[in-house]
Amino acid sequence: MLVSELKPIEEIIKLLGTEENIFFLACSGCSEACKSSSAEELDKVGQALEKEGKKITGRVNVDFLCNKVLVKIKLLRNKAKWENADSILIFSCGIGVQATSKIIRKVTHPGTNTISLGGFQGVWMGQERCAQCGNCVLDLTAGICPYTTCAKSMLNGPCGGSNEGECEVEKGRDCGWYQIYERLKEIGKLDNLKKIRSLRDHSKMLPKKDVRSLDFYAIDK
Amino acid sequence: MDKDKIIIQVPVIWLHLSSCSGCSVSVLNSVSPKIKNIVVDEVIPQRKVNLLFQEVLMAASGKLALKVLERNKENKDEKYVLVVEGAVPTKEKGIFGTIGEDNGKHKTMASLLKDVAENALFIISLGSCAAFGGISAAYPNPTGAMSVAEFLSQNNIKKAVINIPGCPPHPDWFVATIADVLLNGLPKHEDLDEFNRPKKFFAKLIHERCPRRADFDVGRFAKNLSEEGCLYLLGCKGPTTYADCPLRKWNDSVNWCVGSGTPCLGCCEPEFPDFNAPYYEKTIPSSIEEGEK
Repeated sequence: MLVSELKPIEEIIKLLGTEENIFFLACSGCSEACKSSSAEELDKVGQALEKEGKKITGRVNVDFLCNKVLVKIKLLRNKAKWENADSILIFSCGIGVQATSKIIRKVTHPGTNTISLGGFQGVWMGQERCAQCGNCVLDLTAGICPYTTCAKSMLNGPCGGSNEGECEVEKGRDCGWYQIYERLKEIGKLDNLKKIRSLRDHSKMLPKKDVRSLDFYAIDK
Repeated sequence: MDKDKIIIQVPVIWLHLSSCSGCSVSVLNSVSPKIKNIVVDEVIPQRKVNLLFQEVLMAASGKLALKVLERNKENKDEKYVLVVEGAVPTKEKGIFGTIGEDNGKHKTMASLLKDVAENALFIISLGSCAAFGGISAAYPNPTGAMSVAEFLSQNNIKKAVINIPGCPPHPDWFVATIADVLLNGLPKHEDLDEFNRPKKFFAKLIHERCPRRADFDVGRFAKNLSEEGCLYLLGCKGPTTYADCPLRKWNDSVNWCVGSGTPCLGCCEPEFPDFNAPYYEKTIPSSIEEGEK
């Protein structure tokens, strides 16, 4: 299970910028268990956004947003809810955002930050991964995580060592930033490359203090 | 036997439309209770099914058999439970599927369903064809086959429909639904999922309760059918299919598809069979813009 927490509403409003029609996509797996995608939380976010003049075009829950085929099936079943939306606000871990970005060519925004629970995490067999860094930047990178797809975890653009989309660190590995550039081009958001991603706050990657005190080592001390 | 004991009989009419009768074969093989007990005995104390019409089971044939349906059509006070097996062929005024005659002309399945559904208490769509169109409505669907619910909605017939999909459906799903209705009445809105399937059986993904889930988690995949390991790379649809097969299993809980080393085909989902094909290959999750497959 991956643990996530809702982003502050001010941050979500900032992410959405001038976009007016927003579609909510929420995970009923891990993030619902963490209450970051529960119906009550989504209601609150929806109300706050409506106060800001946004329109919620619809809301769909997927049992596991990390399952791309399931995401596709659910989106196809609910086309009317998202086809006129300017962007999709996603309530799940970073993997859910990345899976959705792979399935649909629309602007995606993470509504949550994925945080660490001390190595206790799910298993994902795809190439997209989430580092549970608590500093989600998927919003600016078209739903592809630069931290995990780039071998050097570059946050503000490619290193210059990639060759025709291939990473210089590992033969056969796709360059994360090449993929980000291509996807940004597809959704018409190349301007995002000019925005600076701020320094990573590594303290967010630590499990919370009250959680740390719950492992066997701490309890048996 | 207690002479004063009142037994309430619940009349049931079971129609076969565009189907292979596999749903009947599956459900008639119910193990506990046996189909004999369901048809002859009390399903629950003082409640008994009175099966008026079932093409596979009934001894009568021809006009004699069809009289039952005509009698029920004429007598509007006689309500019954309607079980429908198979999809409804609608193209060319429904001529691709007929049952008996009406004034010397073929009686289409579509018009028969329309007549019989009017007087039904509620309808059970048994099997994926009746519930969602299934194989009968698969591309290119030359007969214009559609699900029972869609057909009723197009003809403005408002009836409660419980969908019990599956190709075929598990006998327990059907028997338990009938018993539940006899005991507690029609299921409440919250007891059914978005496709009117009882949540009792269709609430969880097969993948969540699959005994081979641990293999998936560590990346141990079968390369050939019948091998040990997760069958995902061989096209298993367990991660996108809702049913309790891993717990209930089939044939008196002897085995089930994945247990015997063959992938789940996703037969309980509305997209079956078109979206799920090809069956023995992993589904490639392309983007929606690249195509709906």
